[in-house]
Amino acid sequence: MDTFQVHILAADKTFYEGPCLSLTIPASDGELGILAHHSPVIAAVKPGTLRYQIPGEEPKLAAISPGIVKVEGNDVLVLVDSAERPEEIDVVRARREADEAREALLQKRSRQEHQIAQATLARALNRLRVKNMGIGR
Amino acid sequence: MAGTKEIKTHIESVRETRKITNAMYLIASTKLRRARMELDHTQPYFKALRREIKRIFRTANEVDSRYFFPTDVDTPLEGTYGCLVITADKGLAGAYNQNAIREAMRLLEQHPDVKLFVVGEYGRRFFSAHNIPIEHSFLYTAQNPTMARAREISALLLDGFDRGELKQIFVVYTDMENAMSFQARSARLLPFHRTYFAAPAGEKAVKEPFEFFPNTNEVLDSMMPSYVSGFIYSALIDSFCCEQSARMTAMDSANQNAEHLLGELSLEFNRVRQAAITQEITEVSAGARAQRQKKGS
Repeated sequence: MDTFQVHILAADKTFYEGPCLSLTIPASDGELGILAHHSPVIAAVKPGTLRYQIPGEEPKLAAISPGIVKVEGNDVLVLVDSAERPEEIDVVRARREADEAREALLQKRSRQEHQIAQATLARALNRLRVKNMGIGR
Repeated sequence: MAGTKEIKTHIESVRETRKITNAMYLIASTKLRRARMELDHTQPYFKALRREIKRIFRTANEVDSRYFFPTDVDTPLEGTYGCLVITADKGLAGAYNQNAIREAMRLLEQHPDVKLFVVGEYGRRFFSAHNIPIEHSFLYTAQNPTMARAREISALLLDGFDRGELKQIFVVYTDMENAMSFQARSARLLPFHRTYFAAPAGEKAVKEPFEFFPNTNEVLDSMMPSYVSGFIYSALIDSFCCEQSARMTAMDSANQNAEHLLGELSLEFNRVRQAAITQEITEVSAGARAQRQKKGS
């Protein structure tokens, strides 16, 4: 199977750079699967689970936040706010964040605070989901 | 001439102050190193993001997004502006705070209808002391710039922008040009000017057109909050680096000054002490001679 180069860049670090066999990413209208020699595309990324397979290794998971993905030539660029491996996710912290966000949502606060709480909740839930999937395998 | 006791207390107090400035120097240098490391980690992401926005814009030239200046208008926009001013929490950093505030005041003079968003205790104090209303102040974010804080700030600014309350958003921050020199700057964050994203010569042209999922505007909308928070984050860290660097320079010169002062004071102290000893010897020998003369007579 052909490989392609992938660059997964998070805001605070370079998450992964190197060859990849396949990549599945949550786009704004469903999941987007990318194999080698994909046609050029730029898509909006939603928070969710990113799956990628490095040649000779098990498929890997990562929890990602919104951003974009760009395919050009045989080169894939994933730009997201944050990307975390299942082993990096702290369940206790994610759960606490989710709880705090839920509480914040219950309070009748300004629209903007509501949006922030909602985004935080989505991130925390996404982290928990990825963590569970990582353990389940 | 001051007595030995006064000089001694003076020397002690200079020593105490030097201890403090020296400690501040060390702390600032550690913080600077840490902040630099963080900045290095984030650089690849923001460079890539900026490059992609530029390219999207060039590929799809007809994009009409609220994030861009209207095509045919070149005059400054009317209405309320938003201005994020980044200062430090503490002084003792040379002219760092003054420069940032001067830049902000310059902006205020040009366009008085500005809502201020202030990061840092120093800026907040300054504006409230001068009776300049502050729209929102973010306390304790200058100390520890994190992505989450940057996201909070950008959410607040973007919310104002999306509702049309803020026509333009400026950021006043301090940019590190190189290790030794830095400069307070104001940059317009939103909306983007089209020429800003114009193709620089020599960059590789887009060979194949991109397909946009689901459409160009959606992609831009999902990039923009990241771009804005990214810009704010790097501005925060850039300013933080400058603050620490300015403090290091200030504390270094304070140390040197203390060193110089101590040298002068100890010289003076020795002189005074020597003078006192000489005087005592003169008195003793004069007394002894007087005694001898009394016996002789």
